[in-house]
Amino acid sequence: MTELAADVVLQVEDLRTHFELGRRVAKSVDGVSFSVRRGETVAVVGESGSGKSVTSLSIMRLLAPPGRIIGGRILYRRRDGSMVDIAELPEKAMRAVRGREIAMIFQEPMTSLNPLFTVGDQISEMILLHEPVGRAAARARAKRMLELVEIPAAERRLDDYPHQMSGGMRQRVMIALALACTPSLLIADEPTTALDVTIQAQILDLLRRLQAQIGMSILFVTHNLGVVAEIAHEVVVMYAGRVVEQAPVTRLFERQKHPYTRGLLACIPDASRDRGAAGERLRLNPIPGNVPNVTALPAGCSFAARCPYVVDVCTKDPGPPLVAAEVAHLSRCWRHEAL
Amino acid sequence: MARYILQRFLGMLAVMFVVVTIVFVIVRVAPGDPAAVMLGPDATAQDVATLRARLGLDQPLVVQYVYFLGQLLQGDLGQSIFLDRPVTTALAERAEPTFFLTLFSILIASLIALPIGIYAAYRRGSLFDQAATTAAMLAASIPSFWLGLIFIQFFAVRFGLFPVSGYGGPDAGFLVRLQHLALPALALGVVSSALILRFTRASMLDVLGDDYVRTARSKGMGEFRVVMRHAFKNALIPILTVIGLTAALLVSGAVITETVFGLPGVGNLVVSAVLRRDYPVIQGALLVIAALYVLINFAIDMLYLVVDPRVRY
Ligand SMILES: Nc1ncnc2c1ncn2[C@@H]1O[C@H](COP(=O)(O)OP(=O)(O)OP(=O)(O)O)[C@@H](O)[C@H]1O
Ligand SMILES: [Mg+2]
Repeated sequence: MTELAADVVLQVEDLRTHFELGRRVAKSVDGVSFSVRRGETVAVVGESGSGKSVTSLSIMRLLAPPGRIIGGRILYRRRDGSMVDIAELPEKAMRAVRGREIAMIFQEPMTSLNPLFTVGDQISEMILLHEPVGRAAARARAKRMLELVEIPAAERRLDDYPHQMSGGMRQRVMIALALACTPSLLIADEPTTALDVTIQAQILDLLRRLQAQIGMSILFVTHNLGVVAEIAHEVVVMYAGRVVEQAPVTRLFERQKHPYTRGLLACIPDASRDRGAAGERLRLNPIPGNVPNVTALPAGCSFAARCPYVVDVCTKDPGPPLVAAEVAHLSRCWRHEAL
Repeated sequence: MARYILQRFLGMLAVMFVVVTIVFVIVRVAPGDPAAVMLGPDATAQDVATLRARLGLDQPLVVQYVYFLGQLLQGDLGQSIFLDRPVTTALAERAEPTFFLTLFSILIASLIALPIGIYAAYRRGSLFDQAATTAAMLAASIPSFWLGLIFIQFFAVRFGLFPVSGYGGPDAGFLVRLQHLALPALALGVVSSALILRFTRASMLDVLGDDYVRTARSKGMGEFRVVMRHAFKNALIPILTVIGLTAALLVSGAVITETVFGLPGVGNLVVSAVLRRDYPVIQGALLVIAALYVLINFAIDMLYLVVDPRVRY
């Protein structure tokens, strides 16, 4: 497994994660590929149910049954330079990666911290798990982490319980926790969705600065195209468990090579000019129709039923492959040339 | 927090006052005249009246009640009619077997229920889980006295491993006492473990899917630590409650077990007191049991304070 380009930290290849639900199978992630370079932020966008969280949890190997990785590889470059396939890594080795090398921030800041332990304990716990330091040193580091995420009166806040903090503060604590062991890759699954706009902007700002400081890579899952414009280098658009388009962020905002992405961006007057300003207005545009059920995908392209550009071939198997529509710009559409 | 504890304490006193009143009334209005029972069928009406006067039973209920309260405040539960000693002494003599029986039963029940309940929840839907749930259902439907009789038949009569009955001689050592308590505690423990197991499993199922459990896993810790430190501690409050209530239930259920196993505990005392209409003893025992209930509830509330930082009244 030496085929990773030198600066690639994570390379997901043809990942398939399915849920066996009785006789039906939910193909929540079905053949997803993308890679993340060192220091790069890759955004994963798509409507609800497109498989963003399942992809994230697969990389962390935190899927709850009946979810299972049934195929593909998740190549990851460990800190010592060795290459592993996370999909096949024994659980014990995976535990050394989790938290220490790949950390995750979850969608729900209000409930992701344990209500019975102080935030100081929860951050120290992770440091003590992975590093040969004493309690006092771990606590000192926990305090520095709280300072890093700009929580005022960090020393005192260490002894606070989560319920004594606001949602924004808790999400900062989650970030402090995730960064405590300076991971190589941070997976942030909609870390700001539950927060109000001002706090959201602060958190994004914080993540960007921390990324520059620590030099980590970020896999950023979001619904919010304003956030994408602000933070991402590369964008992966997912639909019904597959990647339908992928391109560098500026290029994607200029020109979409898939009708789905085009639909998502349709009602944004000028995304690139608007970026940075309150991301709120850049929410995904509702496209008429519904995301197909991943337990019963239609023949051909999964988006065909909602697609304004649909032609006969679109509803026939095999569906369109993911091809380079332009240099560094992938599209899974038969008609990408016409777009 | 001190205010909360004080509040709860005053609440306890209020509850006890109500209990005292109810117990007093129930015991008085129950049919059967203790004086008549004491003197037997041959006694004359004159004899009965004299005894009633001596016991204060001829006074109006209100007077008896005020007198009773006054005595109670001085820690005096009255004089047993038949045992020729104060009720407090009679109860104290019998407290030890009941106390240890309850303690050991709860320990055994928890030792059975907690690990099985936790693991069953962890492996929800597995063969182990199904077997545990079924076993718990069976255990819950077994009357403890019946299980006690089976144990006696098997371990005591057939194999002679444990004594059949009693609590050893008056000056038997602790080990002998332990031997006498083993079978009844096991019988009670097995039966009471069912409820605790079901609560443990349900409570664990509740928390195992919580977001902070996933966060704990995302830190890279082992499953044992995830389950015990992060999940179990959160599941603890309902579990503590049911353990406490089971303990209280065991004390009041001691009547049957102690009779089956011939243990000279409070339960046994109550049975003979009821048969002889020994009012003061019945009253005293009921009050002590009620006080235990209230105290256990209080203790559970205090434990909440320790376990959960969000509980700050
Ligand atoms: N535990 C599960 N059991 C069954 N199906 C699941 C489970 N988790 C996810 N799925 C299915 O997988 C698909 C993708 O879910 P996922 O959570 O990855 O979506 P998402 O893109 O993160 O959506 P959102 O934006 O709402 O977070 C959904 O259709 C969902 O029904
Ligand atoms: Mg999600």
